[in-house]
Amino acid sequence: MTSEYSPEEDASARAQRLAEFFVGTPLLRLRIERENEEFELARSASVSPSSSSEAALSPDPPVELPVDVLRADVVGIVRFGRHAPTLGEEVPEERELAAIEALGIRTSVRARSSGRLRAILCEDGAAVDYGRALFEIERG
Amino acid sequence: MLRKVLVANRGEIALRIVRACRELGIGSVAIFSEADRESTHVRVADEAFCVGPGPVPRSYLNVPNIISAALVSGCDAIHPGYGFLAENARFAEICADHGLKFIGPRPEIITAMGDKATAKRVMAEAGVATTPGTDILPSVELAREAADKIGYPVLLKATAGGGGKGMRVVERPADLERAFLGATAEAEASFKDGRVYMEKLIRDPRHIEVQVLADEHGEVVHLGERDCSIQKPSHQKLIEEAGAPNLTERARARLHEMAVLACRHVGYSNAGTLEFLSSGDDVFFMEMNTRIQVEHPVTEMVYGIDLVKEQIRIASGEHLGYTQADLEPRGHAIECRINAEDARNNFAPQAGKLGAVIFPGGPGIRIDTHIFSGANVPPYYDSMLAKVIAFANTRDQAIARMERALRETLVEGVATTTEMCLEILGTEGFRNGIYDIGFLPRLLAQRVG
Repeated sequence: MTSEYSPEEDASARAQRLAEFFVGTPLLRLRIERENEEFELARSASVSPSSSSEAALSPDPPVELPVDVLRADVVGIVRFGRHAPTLGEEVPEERELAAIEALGIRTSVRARSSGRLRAILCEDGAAVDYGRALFEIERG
Repeated sequence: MLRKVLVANRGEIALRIVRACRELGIGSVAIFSEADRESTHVRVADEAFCVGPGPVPRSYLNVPNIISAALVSGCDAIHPGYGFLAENARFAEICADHGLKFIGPRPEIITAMGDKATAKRVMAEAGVATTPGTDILPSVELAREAADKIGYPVLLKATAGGGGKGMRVVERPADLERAFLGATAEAEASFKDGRVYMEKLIRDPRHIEVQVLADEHGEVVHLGERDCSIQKPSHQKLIEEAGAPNLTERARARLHEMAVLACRHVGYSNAGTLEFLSSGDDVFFMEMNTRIQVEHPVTEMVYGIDLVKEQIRIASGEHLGYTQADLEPRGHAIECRINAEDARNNFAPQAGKLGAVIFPGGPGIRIDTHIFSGANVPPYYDSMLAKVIAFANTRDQAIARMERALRETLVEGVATTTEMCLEILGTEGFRNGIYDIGFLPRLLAQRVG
């Protein structure tokens, strides 16, 4: 990848540049994890990469928006709270989607950016382990 | 009996504990790091929880996540295995604070025995012979005074140490200051505890240890001795056997007697090992390991007792149910450690993806391992891949069986200690059972020469 990482660059600009890079690759899924930041881009397996001859004759394939995957960073029990998240809802940055209770301590799980709640991958009251994907947010 | 045990470890010992739980009809919960996601113990346990990323401090030493995993999965006990949190008294206390039974001795015993200087003092009080030495030495000046009194050569050892870390041999006064500073710095870096003590260096001793089991009602038995003198230059064991060859009956009886005496004196419970240095008829207490040992299978083979199950039974409050008179060793057992290490390059640890893996079988062979063809060996952990254990009626037969087994062993993708073990088994010294802890370093030095 030739795209240079710059910490000063705005996250959405970085996401845009990643999306542009992704379109030009044959990859179906690209995930990049950095400290405090996570990008995931994906496209359907049925969509051919732009390098194929068929793709060259077609309009650009649809590219999904960057996805934030929120994961558990402690082992504990998921609690949704009074305003349980609903699939498809628009969530603002910093919105608390759930909390993980462990050893009497409550750790918030918050949206890192605004966007559409694309997937809810956990249940209220369920035990989760470290790194477990909890929510997917399609950045808007 | 306990209902469900969280196994706070990885690799072969985690698998070993899960197996014991299953045979006892107890539930098991594995923990794993992201680097161990595909590991066998994760697959075999009833449940498994990822507790952090690969590096040890963030996963296998991540106490909040481990305790939380035990609580959310409904465990009533934690088995720490060896290494990691096995001799961490604070962890044992935290388990108790959360209503979890720590499968091991009480925290205060771990504290007393884990501090090697304190352990020696306690053992001396119990009438157990110890090497001439000191308590913790806070300064080079005091170390110099002590060495003059004890007489060179001396050994500086980290009080929190293990695996040869924070240990220095000092042959003469001119080397003392440098050795003291080196041992202190290494101990601080390895254990976050830079305290060191000193003892008289006993030249070319054998490392003989005694396995003990004690229940929580005051019953104590020993399960004989193991000779663990085949050690790498870093003092890490490579081959162990039960019983110890060519040990005088007088020395053997003293070792067994002292081990039981010591356990009774401190009110020990669960499995433990007392390590001694032996030279002729002289035996000196070195340290006590308040946990299951890597080399426990050789004892299991000759005594026919499952030590891990006994640990769980004892932690459940059960009586041992047998006395010393009921325990009779039978035959001979040898263990070779198959480590991912390059024996021709100072035992440099290896990591990476394994190719084909084939372990031996047949009569009298036991394999304790977590690896398989195509498994990944992460760089973060101990390099031990497997233990090959050979059991037979006599020592000669056990050696022949081990040689046959090692020749059947195939681990592709990383360098291993298999060939090194074969080379040792073929030496006259090993075959005659005449070796000490300097045996392997001398063999390696000859090879270089």
